[in-house]
Amino acid sequence: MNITDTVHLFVPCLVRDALPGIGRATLALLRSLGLGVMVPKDQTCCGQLLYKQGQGQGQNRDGRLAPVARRFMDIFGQARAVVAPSSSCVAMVRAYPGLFAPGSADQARAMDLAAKTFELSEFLVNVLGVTDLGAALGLTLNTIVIYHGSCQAEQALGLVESPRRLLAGVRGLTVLEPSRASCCGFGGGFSLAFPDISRAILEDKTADFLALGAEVVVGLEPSCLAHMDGYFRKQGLPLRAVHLAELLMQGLESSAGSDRLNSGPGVRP
Amino acid sequence: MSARPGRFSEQASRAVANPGLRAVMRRAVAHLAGLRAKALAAMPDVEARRDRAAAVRQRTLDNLPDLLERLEETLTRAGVQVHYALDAAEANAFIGGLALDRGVTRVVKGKSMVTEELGLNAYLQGLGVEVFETDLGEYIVQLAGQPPSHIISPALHLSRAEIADLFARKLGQGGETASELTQVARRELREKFVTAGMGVTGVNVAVAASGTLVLVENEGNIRLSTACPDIHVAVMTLEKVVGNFADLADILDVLPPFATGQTMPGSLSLFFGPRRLGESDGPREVHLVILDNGRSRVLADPVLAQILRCIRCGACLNVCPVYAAVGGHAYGSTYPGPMGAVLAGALEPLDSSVPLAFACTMCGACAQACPVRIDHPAVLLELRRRATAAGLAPLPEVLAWAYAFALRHPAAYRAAVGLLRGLDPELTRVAAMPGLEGLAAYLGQREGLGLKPPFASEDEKKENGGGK
Repeated sequence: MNITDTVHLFVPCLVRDALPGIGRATLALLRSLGLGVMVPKDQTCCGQLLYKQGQGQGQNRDGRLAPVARRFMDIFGQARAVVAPSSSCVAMVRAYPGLFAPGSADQARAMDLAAKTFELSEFLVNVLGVTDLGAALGLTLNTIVIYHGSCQAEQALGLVESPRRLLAGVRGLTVLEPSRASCCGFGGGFSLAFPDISRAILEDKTADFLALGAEVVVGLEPSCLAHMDGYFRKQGLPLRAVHLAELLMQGLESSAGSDRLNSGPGVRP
Repeated sequence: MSARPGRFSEQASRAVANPGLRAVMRRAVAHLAGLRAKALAAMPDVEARRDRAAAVRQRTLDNLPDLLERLEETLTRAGVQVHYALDAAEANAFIGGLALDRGVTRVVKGKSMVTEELGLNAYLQGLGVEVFETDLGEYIVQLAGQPPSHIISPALHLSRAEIADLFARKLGQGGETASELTQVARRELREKFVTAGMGVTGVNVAVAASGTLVLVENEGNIRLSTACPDIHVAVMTLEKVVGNFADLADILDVLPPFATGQTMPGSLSLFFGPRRLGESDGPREVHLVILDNGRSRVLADPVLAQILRCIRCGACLNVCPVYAAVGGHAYGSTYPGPMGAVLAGALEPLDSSVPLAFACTMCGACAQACPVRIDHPAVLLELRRRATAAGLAPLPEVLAWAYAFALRHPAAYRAAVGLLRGLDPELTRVAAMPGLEGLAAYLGQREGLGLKPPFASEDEKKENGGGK
């Protein structure tokens, strides 16, 4: 990949309709680096919710989810690279090959797509080789953030280095780590099926964030961030949860003069 | 009513509403996970150890009939009587029958999860045989009339104060510190060891080539349970066998560090058969019960079989966010946590274990912690698929169908989302629909979630006349 190439932006359903600020920040960030960005029309959702509920593959091979994956491949198949501001949605796309019969043309297409679909920080650091975004964009932020490595980023995609690399390049930023890396309790359908357990898990995470003195929780997973931010707001806590792209774009704006760090992922435009 | 996997949701809700339990679990789980993390950080070859242990366990699964035949041969030569039990009923009938036949009225037990699976204590007590757990944690939960809540630390869910109170009530002896309480249990148990007619233990590893039963422990109670009584009955599920001593070493390279952060266990016992001529102690009779209880069926399953690699170290429990929040009893299955949810799904009827397959955030911490590289989330996902195929999924079929339809038809999808945005942007009315109580509870805990004016591409904006 080259910085002058055009990438396709994969906008997760949650980002499009509930957390549009993450979409805008991602688009702006990619463009600020000089990349051409295509946002294909008629995107819906990658199907992750259905997949995790046991609706795809196995005994349901080529049942409910395979047509969704085929449609996604029709939209993004021609892209040089597909970039999304969500680790779990990228993990879903990388699981598409398992939805199709081994050796089938569909599976070959799914493997091709999986190989060129990237989470935003992964794309910036591992594909483009942007190691010091702070310097590239002149970012400054005087904030104490804690990096929450979402499970889908750390475990499913193995993204440990790239987000921390990007945060390290922002001048003025203090980046903390939680005392123990662990799940925030979201888990998609899990939190709706077991809201009490989900809340108990988040309570413990939140206590840790507050004890460490964080002001902002930053991560790569819109769903986990919305899960946390909605709870922080309801509890009236001095904590916000924001996506890495939003944080970086705020750094860009604040470097340009305006300082604004109150917008969680649920902020209205 | 006793806990059941099918009632996980209510049991878990009750557990997380108990602040005392939450506080104990937070501390205990962090402690155990910390011990492991510290031990592994000081172990430069940890990944190589995991590879070797996983390979040994997989070799067992690939050669199980041959290994069991060899084990039976070598054990029989060593004077151990080998018995196969198809299920819990057969195993209990054999052990109970042996106790009655030999006139045993008192049994001491080493800690073993397999005898929990059998329900052996209740069975023996039903025959009029007294049963005493001798592992400190097991002793405590037995006194409390509870099942273990953790496969390594059975009384993990109890605070020291609760244990002191229990001892005072049941034994009439108090204690403040952990050491004082341990002394109480120790005094009580000493007399049981020397008066018991039978010692029952599990088995950590059975070595086929040499006919050796291996037990790992920290308290020495297994040594006493096997050295004092005249009869030793060891119980194992059939996949505990390995080929030779090199294989055993590979297991021992990971079991103590992943379980408790120890490089070596407090006691490592290798049993080579009953007391020989001229020896002054040890059992005169040794029996090994090899239990199937569904394992051979699981072994034939291409996805589920990997759970039989499990060595019962408990690492997956200690890193699981759900286990840490709800504790072991909420599961209602013999084995709790990730390995327990997988095992319940593999061994129990699908309809009774379905909630456990869905009670997982798919965070993957268990798979990352597992010394034998079991991919618990992948297996749980497969169990969800089977539940869905069997019509047992929690997601209503009509919703799943409608959602999948909308994903393939963007105009319908947009129209539906647009309608919702106009009528019910905070989704409160949707959440009030019957069957969506979980969504209502979830949204009720939050603020600012809901539909916003969508993020739209330039092309879409142009088509819509420039606005968003």
